[in-house]
Amino acid sequence: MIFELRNITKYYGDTLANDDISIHLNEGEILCVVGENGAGKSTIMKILYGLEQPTSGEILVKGQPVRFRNPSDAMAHGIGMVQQHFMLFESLTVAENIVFKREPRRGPLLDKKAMLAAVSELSERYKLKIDPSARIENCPVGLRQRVEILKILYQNAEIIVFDEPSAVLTPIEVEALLQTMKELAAAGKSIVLITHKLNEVMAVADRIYVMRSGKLVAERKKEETSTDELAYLMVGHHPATREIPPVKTGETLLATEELSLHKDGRDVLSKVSIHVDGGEVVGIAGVSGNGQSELESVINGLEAPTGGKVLLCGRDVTHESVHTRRELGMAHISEDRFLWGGAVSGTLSENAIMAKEEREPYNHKGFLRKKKITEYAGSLIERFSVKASGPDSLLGELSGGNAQKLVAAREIMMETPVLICCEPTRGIDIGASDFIHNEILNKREKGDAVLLISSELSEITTLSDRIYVMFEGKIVGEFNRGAVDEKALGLLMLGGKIDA
Amino acid sequence: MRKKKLQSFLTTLGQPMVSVTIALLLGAVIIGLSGENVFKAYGVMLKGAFGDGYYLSSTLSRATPIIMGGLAVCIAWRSGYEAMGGEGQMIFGALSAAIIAYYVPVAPFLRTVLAMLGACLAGAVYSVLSGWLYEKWRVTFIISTLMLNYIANYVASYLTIYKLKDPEALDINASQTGKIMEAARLPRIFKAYSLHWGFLIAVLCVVLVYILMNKTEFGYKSRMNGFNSRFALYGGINARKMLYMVMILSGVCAGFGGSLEVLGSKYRYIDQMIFNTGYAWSGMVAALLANFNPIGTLVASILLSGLATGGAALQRSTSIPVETVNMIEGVITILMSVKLLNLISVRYRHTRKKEGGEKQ
Ligand SMILES: Nc1ncnc2c1ncn2[C@@H]1O[C@H](COP(=O)(O)OP(=O)(O)OP(=O)(O)O)[C@@H](O)[C@H]1O
Ligand SMILES: [Mg+2]
Repeated sequence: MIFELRNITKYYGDTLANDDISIHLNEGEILCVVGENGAGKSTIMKILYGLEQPTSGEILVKGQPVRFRNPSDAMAHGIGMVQQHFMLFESLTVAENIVFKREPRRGPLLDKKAMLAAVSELSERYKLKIDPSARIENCPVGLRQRVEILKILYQNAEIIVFDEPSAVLTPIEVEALLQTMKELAAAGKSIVLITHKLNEVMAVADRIYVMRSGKLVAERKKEETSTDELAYLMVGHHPATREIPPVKTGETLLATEELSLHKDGRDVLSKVSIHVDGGEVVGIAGVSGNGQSELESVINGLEAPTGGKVLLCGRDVTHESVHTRRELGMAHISEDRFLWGGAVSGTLSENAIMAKEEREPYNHKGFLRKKKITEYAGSLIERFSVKASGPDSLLGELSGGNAQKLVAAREIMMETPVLICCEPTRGIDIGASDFIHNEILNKREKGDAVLLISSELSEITTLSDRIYVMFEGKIVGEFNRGAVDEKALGLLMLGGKIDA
Repeated sequence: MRKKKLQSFLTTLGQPMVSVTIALLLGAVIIGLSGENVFKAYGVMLKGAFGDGYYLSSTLSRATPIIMGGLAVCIAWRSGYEAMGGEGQMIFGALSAAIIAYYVPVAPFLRTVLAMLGACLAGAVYSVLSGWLYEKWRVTFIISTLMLNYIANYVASYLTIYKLKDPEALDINASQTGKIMEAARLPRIFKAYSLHWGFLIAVLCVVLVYILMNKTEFGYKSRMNGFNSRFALYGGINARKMLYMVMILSGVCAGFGGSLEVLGSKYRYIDQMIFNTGYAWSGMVAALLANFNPIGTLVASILLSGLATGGAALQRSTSIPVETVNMIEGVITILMSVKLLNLISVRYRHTRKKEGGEKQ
């Protein structure tokens, strides 16, 4: 037994996040922790990693009781964690972030050559492709994730905790990551994986813990269980299967014409022309970092293109502000809920009302009506089952998945003709994903246009009526529903060709 | 719900109190080490700050520009702009008010009003300048505002020494502008005490700023911008408009504060009057102490002002040097800059929530 947590209980104020949890990890084992959003998975791992202090209970490493006051204490005992929300320095480079605090030095100075060599070697060994000298602030989430993983690997941890590491990776990358985990385990490292994707669990786990509402509800050996059983244990009922009826498409509500973006000396977008009609869900498939984030920010008005047009409800909005686009009828679930999509220090009410703060009945002659806003936030919380103590709690106090639910709820409930969804179910549990997918499909049935950008292929293939494939800033393929399988898509996304 | 409100009000009050208490304890150690009776010394200070009508009134009138400087900081910092230009804006506000009230040949009451408006305008323009430097050239606020403070002080010195020197005292070696006629001054509230209407006007400003920041659309937008400027952009808030609105409001507060000091206390601009007293800086400390809550800023401003008036009394009647008091204020500044209070308040908020939750 490499570590053991005994009777851990954790309160945040009056929220019981962990209720008398006892878990352990064996050497060379891959342990999975699954459970609904807000079940307490991140909390228990934060306690193990010294980021949070338990209200009661003890931690044993190799049989010895320990107390971690901070992550450095945990690291000193060989415990590393890849956070659910990245903790990287925006203005430093990829390599600098990876070696941070353990920089190779020549005398008192940073040895740049050794640093780059070490980082490149690491990235090759674990097949995690990165550009060591790129700055984090210019990296999309997918790349940031890779940097986080490499950072832990660089620190040579014996126990590596992954909190939803695969949320933004493509199937091929996920496979590589899972393979990496297996190799690490074979080399004697011990791994904890928190995930909502049960197929990943079945692919790598030796043992699985299921959590629900702060409690440990089940422990299973991989051989003794199945995805069905796990899903049942997590949510308490079996997921429903869904039929997607065909919908007649209306006129084009969102389109781009030869959109180009030249940035940092390269073409991040080149001549991207897409269109989304009313009653249509259009998916964009691609490995993250191939221009999807830029396409997102050019469409929603956060970045100006170097060429081409964006058309919204028939109007050229290329040079219009975000505000105007939102007024005209665009809503947008951002790919990163904390970077763009919300304010962690703001209350749920404050987060819920964004982009509606100028509208009646929430605003009356410049004064905000707190009661109406709280009611509205309450309705979002209830409808999307956001687990929170109320509209006055802070966004930062929510579990990752619940914060995501609030952001998705806000944008879906804008009830605009055009909705842009970027990773709409990132970090959301099975039950809640189904719910959000249903809401997206409801919009489609109402005749609205939905653009879906997701690194999760199954999400794209099940929801989309049409799929564009993006590679290196270009559209390299367009398919109707059912005309292509995930394998072929995956190949195209990596720049391959499919035989006609 | 009521209880919660009261408690949040108490937290606002509690924050400056805790920090001042810690500073006073440290001050006690210092006083003790210098061989004086700590209780006697603090007794003298307390009396010298709030002890009777006379002292209380001088504490409150001294607090007036501090409050306004604090409000300026509240507005800017809550919106995410770390501007520290209150001093320069206050200097130009004070100078403009002194010039207008002395030279503009209109009825006395109009002079007062024009002087105030002129001060607001001067503060706003100077504040917008640093906003423009930020927007256009990305000059950090900390750098631009600090530089602008020096420029303001020297420009004001030049003008008071060479151009606008009191015509009735040209031969005297005093660099100050002419004394404003009595009818154009802000009247005292009680004849015998120095407290003037400017203090009440400042309290009114506190209420207005509180409402603006907590109840209005503008307040919401600026708060979100302060929390996460990317979120604000994403939600469609116009960053440029926000920046200038905030800079204008913040500059108006500081400039107006300068005019209150001139019209209510000094009746003229005296060279270095804002610079030497450090009103704007005390205002900043007050705002930081109160975590940018306007009402907390009011309380903290009065406490800081009391520290100064009480300190002066201490020096008058004991052998303790005034530096001891400066040290106490220094300790307060350090305490808030290490965010100790922030930590305490976060902890406190959690326990408070627990209590609130049990009732539901
Ligand atoms: N800093 C905090 N302050 C208050 N409550 C918190 C805080 N962090 C977590 N919680 C609460 O603790 C509970 C468990 O959260 P946790 O983040 O462990 O969930 P999780 O299982 O990781 O969920 P997800 O799958 O959504 O990431 C939630 O109800 C959450 O609201
Ligand atoms: Mg989590």
